[in-house]
Amino acid sequence: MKYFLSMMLILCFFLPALAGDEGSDREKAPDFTLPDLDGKNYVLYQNLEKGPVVINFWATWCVPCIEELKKMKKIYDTYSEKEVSFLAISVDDPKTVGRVKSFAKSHRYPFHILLDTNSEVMRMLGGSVPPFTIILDKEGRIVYSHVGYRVGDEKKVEEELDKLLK
Amino acid sequence: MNRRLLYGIIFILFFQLPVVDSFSQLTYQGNNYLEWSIDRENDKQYFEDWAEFFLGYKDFRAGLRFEAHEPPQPYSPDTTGYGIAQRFLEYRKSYFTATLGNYYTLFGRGLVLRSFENRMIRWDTNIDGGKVDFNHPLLDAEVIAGRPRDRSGRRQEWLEGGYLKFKPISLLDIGGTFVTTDLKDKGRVYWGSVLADLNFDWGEFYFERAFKDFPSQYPKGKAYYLMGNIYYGNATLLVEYRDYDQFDITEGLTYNNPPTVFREHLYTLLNRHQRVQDARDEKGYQVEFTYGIGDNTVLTLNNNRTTNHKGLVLYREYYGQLEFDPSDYWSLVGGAGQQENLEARYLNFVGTAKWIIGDYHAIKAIVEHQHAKILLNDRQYYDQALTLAYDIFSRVTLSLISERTTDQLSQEDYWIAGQVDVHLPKNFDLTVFGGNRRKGKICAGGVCINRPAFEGIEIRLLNRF
Repeated sequence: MKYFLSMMLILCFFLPALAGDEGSDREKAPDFTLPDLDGKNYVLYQNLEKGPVVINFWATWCVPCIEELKKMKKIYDTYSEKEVSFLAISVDDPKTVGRVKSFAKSHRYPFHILLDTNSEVMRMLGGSVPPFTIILDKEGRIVYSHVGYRVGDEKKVEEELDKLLK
Repeated sequence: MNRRLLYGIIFILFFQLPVVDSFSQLTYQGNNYLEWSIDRENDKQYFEDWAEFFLGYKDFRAGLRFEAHEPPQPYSPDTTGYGIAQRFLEYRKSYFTATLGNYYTLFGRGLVLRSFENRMIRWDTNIDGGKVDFNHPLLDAEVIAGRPRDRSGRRQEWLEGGYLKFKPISLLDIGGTFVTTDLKDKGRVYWGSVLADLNFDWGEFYFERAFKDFPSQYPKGKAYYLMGNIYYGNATLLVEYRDYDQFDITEGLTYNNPPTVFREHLYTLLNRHQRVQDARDEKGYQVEFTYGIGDNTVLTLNNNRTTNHKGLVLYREYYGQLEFDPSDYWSLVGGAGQQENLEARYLNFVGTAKWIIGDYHAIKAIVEHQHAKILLNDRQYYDQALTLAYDIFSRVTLSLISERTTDQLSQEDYWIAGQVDVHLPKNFDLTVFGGNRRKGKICAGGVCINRPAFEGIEIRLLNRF
C-alpha cells in the first residue's frame, strides 16, 4: 500500500505542475448536448461564439450550491448584459429531477437551466461533486474552475470575466 | 494487468503528450481522487484512488480510469486490487455520439435502466460495451449493448436495450424504453416502459408506465410513476405518485433506480432515518409546496407517505423549511419535521446560520436536534449534532463536527472531530478529517449504506489538470 500511496501522492502533486495553465489550447472543453427545462436540446459548441460561458453544476439538495447560486444571480445581473452566458446545470438524479423546475421558479433563478440527470457532462468536464463552476472563453477553453463554494469564490469569477471582456 | 505496462501507459500519457505539438487539436484533461484512512480503533488502513485521463482529438475522445483499492473501505464492495477499471473511445459528429468501452446511461427517469456512479456510497454499475446516441431537436434515441458491473466488481450477462423519445410539438415528448438480458439458468428477461412529458408555461406533467416480463417461474412486475408540477407566480406545487410492484430489477446487480418520491435530506440526522427504497413492494405520494416570499425568503412544505400493497404504512414524513436572507451578510435556514417508519418516530429540528464577514470570510453553524421514540417499547432518546465552520480567504475551511446521544443502548454518547479543507492553486483540494464519527446509514438517491464507526484520520485529495 505504501507503494501506491507514494505513487499517487507523486501524481497528485506533480501532474498539475506539468499540465498547461488553464486557458491553454489543451484545455478546450468537449462539446455536449443537454436538455433544458422545456425539453429543448442545448449544444455547447453552437452557443460559444456569443461570448464567455459560466457553467455552474448544482443540485436542489446541495446546500453550498444554493449559497453559490445566490451570488451567481448578482453576477448574472452585472454580466448578462455584456454577452456572458450563464448555464446552471442541475445534476439532480431521477429521484429529485422532478423538483428542479419548481425550485428554480421559487428561487427566481434567471439562468438557462439544463439537466444532466446522470452527471455525465459534469464528469466529462472534470467535476465529481457539485457545486462545480467553470468559465469558458469564446473558443471553448476552460479558463477557470473551482469545486465547492467558499465565500469569495464569486469575486474570482468576476475577476476572470473582467479579464475575458477586456 | 502487468504493472510495468500500466505505468508505461501513464508515463506516455502524461510526460510525452506536451511534446506532440503537431497534433494542434489534441486536448487532454484528467483528475485524481485519493482517500486514505487510518482507523485507529480497528488498527487498519484503507487506501483508495481513482485516476482519470481524457484525450480529445477532433471528433474523437478517449478516456482511461485507473483504480486502486488497497484495501477498500469496509462498506465498499469487495474490489481489492488495482488496475485499469475503465477505458472508452467516443466519436461525436453532428447529432450522433458513438461510444465503445465503459459508459453510464439512463433511460427516462430510471424506472427501467440507470447505470451510474456515486463514489460516496461506492456505487458503480458502469456498462462495458457500446452505445450510440442520436440527439435531434425532434428525436432522441439511444441503443446500448454491454455487460454491466455488479456490486462486487464482476461483469454480468450481456444487456441490450434502447430508448426512443419523439418531440413532435414543443409541448409534448413521448417515447419508450426497452431492455433485455439472458440470465444464466433462468432464461431471457424483458422489461421496458412507455413515457410522456407535457410542458406548459404554467406546469409540467410526466408519466411513465413500466413492465417486467421474467420467465414464468418468476413474478412479473409492473410500475408507474406520475409527476405534476404547477407554477403560479412565486408559488409552485409538486405532486408525485408511484406504484412499484415487483419492480426491483436485481439479478446480481440493480439495473434500475426509480424515483424515490420522498424527500432527500442533507442534514446528518434527517438523512440517517430517511426511507430506503424497496421497489419490490411500495407505493405512495409526495406533495411539496414552495413559495418565494419577496426576494429573500423561501418557504417549503413537504408531506410524503409510502405504503406496501397491503396498505401497511412503511414511512411517512412531514417537513417544513424556511430559508431567509435578512441581508447580504446573513443567511438563515430553519426546518422542522417528523419522520416515521415501522420501528420508530423521529421529531426533528434543524437550523443553519451563516455570517459572511467581508468579501472572503464566513462563519457557519449547523444545529440538529432529533427526538427518537422506538414504537415497539416506547423507549425515547435524543440525538444532537453541531457543526461549526470558518471560511478563511476562500482558501481554507476549518470545521468542528460533533454529535451526542442520550440513547442508553449506544456504547458511546458523544463523537467529535475536526476537519480542514484547503483549496490550493492548480485545482488542488485537500481535506483532512481527524477524530471519531458515529456509525450510521448514509443515503443518496434512495440507495443507502451502513457506514461503520470510525476513529482516526482521513485524508482526501482531489486534483484536476
